[in-house]
Amino acid sequence: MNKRFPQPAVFGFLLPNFLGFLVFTLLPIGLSLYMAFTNWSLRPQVGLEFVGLRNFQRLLGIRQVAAAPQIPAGWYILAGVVLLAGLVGYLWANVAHWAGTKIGGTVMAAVGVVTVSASAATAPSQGLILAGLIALVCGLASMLSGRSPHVAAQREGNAWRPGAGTIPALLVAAAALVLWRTNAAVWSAHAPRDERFWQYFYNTVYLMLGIPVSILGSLGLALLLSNALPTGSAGRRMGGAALCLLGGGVTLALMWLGGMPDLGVVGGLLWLMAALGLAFNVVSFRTIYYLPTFTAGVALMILWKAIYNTKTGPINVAIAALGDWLGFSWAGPNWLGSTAWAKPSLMIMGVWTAIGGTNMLLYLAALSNVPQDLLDAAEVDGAGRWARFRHVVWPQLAPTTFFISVMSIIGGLQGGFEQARVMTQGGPAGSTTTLSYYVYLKLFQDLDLGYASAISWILFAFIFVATILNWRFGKGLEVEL
Amino acid sequence: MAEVVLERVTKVFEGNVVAVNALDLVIRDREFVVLVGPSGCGKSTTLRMVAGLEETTEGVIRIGDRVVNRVAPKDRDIAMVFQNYALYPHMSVYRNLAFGLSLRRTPKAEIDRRVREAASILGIEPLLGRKPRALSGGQRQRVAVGRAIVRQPAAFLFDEPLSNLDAKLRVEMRAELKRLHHRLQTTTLYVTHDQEEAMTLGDRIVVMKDGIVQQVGGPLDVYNRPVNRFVAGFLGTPPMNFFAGKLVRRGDGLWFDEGSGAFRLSAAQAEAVGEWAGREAVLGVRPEAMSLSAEGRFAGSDNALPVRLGVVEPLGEKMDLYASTQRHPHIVARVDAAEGLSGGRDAELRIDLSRVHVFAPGEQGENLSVPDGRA
Repeated sequence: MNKRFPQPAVFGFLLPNFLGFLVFTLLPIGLSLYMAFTNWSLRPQVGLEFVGLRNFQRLLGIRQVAAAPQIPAGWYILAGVVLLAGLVGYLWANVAHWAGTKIGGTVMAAVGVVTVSASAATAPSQGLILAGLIALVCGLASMLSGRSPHVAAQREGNAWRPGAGTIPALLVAAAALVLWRTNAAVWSAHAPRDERFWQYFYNTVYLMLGIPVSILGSLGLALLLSNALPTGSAGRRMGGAALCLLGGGVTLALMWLGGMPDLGVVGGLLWLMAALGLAFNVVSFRTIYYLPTFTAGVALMILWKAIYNTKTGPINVAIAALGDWLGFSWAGPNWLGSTAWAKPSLMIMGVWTAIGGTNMLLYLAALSNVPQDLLDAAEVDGAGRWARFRHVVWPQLAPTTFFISVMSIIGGLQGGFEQARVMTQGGPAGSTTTLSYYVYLKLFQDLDLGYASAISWILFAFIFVATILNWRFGKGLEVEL
Repeated sequence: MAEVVLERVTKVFEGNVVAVNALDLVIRDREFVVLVGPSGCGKSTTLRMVAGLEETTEGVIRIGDRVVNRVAPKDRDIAMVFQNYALYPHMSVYRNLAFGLSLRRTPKAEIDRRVREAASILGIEPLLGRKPRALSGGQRQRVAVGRAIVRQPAAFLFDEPLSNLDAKLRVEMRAELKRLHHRLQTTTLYVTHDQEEAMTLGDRIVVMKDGIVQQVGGPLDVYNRPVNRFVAGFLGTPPMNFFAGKLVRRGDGLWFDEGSGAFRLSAAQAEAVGEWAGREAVLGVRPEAMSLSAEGRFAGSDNALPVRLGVVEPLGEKMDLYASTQRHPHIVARVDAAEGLSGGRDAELRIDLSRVHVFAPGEQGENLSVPDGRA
């Protein structure tokens, strides 16, 4: 028997899986990559042609809309070099744990605040505001990523270099300023060729702002639900549950007879939840919070569409009722129908769906894996609840947080299709169209398969880069928080 | 530095499991006391109650002159070392040591001084910048001990700190802990299931079983005068041999009749257990109180036990003999090594009758030959 090389039979067992991958995954991927370089269209009158990079030029290119001023190329090169130096130095400063980033960062952030407020107070000069904002952002970044002094204290020689870590941030700020001054005129003379693509990219990223909220929410829920509630002995729990069920029935009946069946149902459900909580403790709440995840997504969206209804949705009805009661004439926002509220509406729904979902389960699992000894040691060491969370639990959760963040960012970049399709048709005015819905529109509305493929591949590139950046820089930063 | 006092301390877990039952114990200032017993005997629970990590169901715990039953662990002025080190994995050794101090808002310079002092005591200065995962087991345990001493608490609590180390390292760390205690003179309560560790470390040892203290005393005191059969069997390796038999009066002496042999008890013992004459009893004989030779303290004609030899384990200077009689299949004797001895043949074991114990029958029968055994 040759141990090093597997027998042919081994390959035989692998073959079905491999064939499936070949036919259903690799082939379509290859085909779509090819399509991205063609003008493939579902219109019968368009003949298939290889068009090279034309789709990508249309997607990412810029066009001139006015006469552009002449700028010496040296300025661009200088700004580029400074920017690069700043970025490299910034990463380096963090990797090398340079001391003093906090002090320097504070100074820079203060400079930024002063600049912004001064320029806003006198003449709203855009340049100054922008410079101030950049200084503010760089300052905050170097402050947050700066290591605390006791790491510095243990280093040999007790080196303390105030603000050393800020120099790279300063470089980035300077370069950005130069680029902005030189480039403003050039910028305004040009426009992207496919403005919708960039608008939808912005929409996608905007909708992703709900992700940190939902991750924090999941963590909060997991913390709440990780320990059993003190509900007393079995007999008392069951008795309490029975009383709660009775209370629910009575509430429902009274409200129904009193002509308020809706409130009756809501009240009855609250009593039912209390009963379940008493009977099954945290398990019942975990299940309830997980419900949205094993409900069909489209059904939830139809439900939320009804909730957001301007006239009959419970939110606006409640707002109007509250207004009546207080003596105001209040009208709720036009949730899904206005450009101002459409995106927040979708974000609220997204957070609601994700908060008790798989992320909560992952956090619950991670919390149960935190060694009790570590918590005990911290307690003896003098850590209160918050210190134990910050110094023991949170670092132990870092891998989970990292994983959840990566998966959420990937999901966020890909997401938004169902909401747009079911709830808003991407509107109003394209404000809820995301990149994935744009792919769909290009394909099924404009029948432009080639262009849709090109968008998909650009989207893939974004996700790929975001994930690589996450892996490279996300891990180290998490642990130190 | 402080005295730790436990008065009628009781712990009842959910479902009416009594883990610790009315435990009385005084750990004097600067004393090193070891709680020892088989797993589940309540020793760790006791320690955790002193630390404040478990609530005390009943009884009073005092540290110094303060009743600490309602005091949070961080305010009890104690430091604890855990079995699996419990180092904060994401912090460097320096931060691990400094953590408790910085939570107490100690000035930075003071923290630095104390951390470096603790590190030099334990010889871990070169490791200060490392993360725990880059350390060996022994180094981790040193850091864990360092984390305790850096706080300069009134009392140290150790929860089986050496049981995760390999045998060689365990012996080394044991000696080091003893040196450390000599140097710092901090009141220490130490929990272990290893009787050897208990004997070597403790100024006094507390033997526990089923949540009840069996005996408290100096290591040799407990070893030489165990109050009952459990304590006698728990301390010492190989463990004490127990022979069930009967006390009988023959002529002017009191004899213990094993079945295949009978031994005449010494005059002192005969006096102590005289009133048990004619009743069932258990004779306890330590392996080293037996010999193949019939010379010196083993001399005499009324102390021979005919046995069949089983396995012979040469240890160097000594050797362990596993032997059996008709009624007692498992007898261990530690005798002077003799070449050419092999198992499977008959021999006569001589017993040093001045060092045997007579116990009342039963698993926990009291030691009748020790004056306060019945207390």
